[in-house]
Amino acid sequence: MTDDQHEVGRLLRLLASDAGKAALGGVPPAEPVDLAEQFQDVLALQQRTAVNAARFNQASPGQPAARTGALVFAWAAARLGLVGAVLGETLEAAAHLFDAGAASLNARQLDALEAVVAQGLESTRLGLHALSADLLAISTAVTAGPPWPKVPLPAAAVALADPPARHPAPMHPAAGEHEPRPGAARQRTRHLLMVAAPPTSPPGAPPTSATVLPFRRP
Amino acid sequence: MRDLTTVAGMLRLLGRVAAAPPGPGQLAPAPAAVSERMAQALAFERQCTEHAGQHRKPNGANPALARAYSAAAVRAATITRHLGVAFDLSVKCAMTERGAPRSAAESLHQRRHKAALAALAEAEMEADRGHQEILGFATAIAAGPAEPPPSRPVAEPAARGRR
Repeated sequence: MTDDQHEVGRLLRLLASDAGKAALGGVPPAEPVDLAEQFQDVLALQQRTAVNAARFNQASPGQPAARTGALVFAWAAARLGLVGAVLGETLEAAAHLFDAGAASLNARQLDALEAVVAQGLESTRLGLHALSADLLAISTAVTAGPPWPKVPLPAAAVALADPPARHPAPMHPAAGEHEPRPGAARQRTRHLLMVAAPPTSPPGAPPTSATVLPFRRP
Repeated sequence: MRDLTTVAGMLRLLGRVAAAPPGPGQLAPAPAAVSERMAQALAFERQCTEHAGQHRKPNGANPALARAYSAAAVRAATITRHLGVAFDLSVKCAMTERGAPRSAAESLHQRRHKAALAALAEAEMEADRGHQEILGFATAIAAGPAEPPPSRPVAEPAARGRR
């Protein structure tokens, strides 16, 4: 095993372990404070992962384990970004729920909020556990390689793998990535109104209540 | 209600910090800078939630203050969400290499930067709305208990079309 293999495998196992720990943070019923801490943990993980991706991206083509590490860390950072997006919206829903008494939400709106929080927590837990398991499997493959493991790479990782000078391939946003998409924004807003409009609103009418929830169901 | 005025001021400050311009030569703030701003927003959110909880306890019950702190916590949570979006984009910007001028890769890079800045601007606008809302609470509470509680626009839908 080369030094690169050892180092990439070690960092992947560390990340897998930390992702598994972060998954334990949001146990229902989660208070906004708990969610805020979990959110911060996930963001810190994403930043650390991106730093590792950048570090291994400096490796030369003669260091295949390090090049693979760059791809895997970029892929993991993108996945953590998706988890963070869900957590951000879950945190906001939890804060609304905490504020439910003051905001005079009706039962339907409360149910919607609780569902968002519950689904967000579950989605976060599953996402982090799955990432942790994937990273463990990849770390084993990296330390046993070659052959090097193949990772379902998002656009961000592809950009790392293919220097623009050699492959000026078009780069499309990865699934779920936050890009300006007017169509998606419109669809999302419509969904918001469906979830949060008070029962008395006539079909198609804008909500009369100010309690429009600025988030979507995960 | 000096406390609430301070809370309102902190919200506005949070927004100003969130939308602070990037360093020289940068299109958008670095991930570490956005992460720092998010940590501040989360800390503020946590404090407001704790204060709201304290004012809901039977021995220290003050429903009006509890409502005000809850409202501030919700605003901080929304600001955090916007900052989370900006953070994710800034991480991706930092990870990917720039492409040739007018290439698809460069176009994506530019769009990410613009989207990150738009998310930061959303955070600032949310902070401004929160500032006004908390000042409204302070005014209503100072006017006395006969005043009806201020209306609670829980959260206006963010102008997502801009992102």
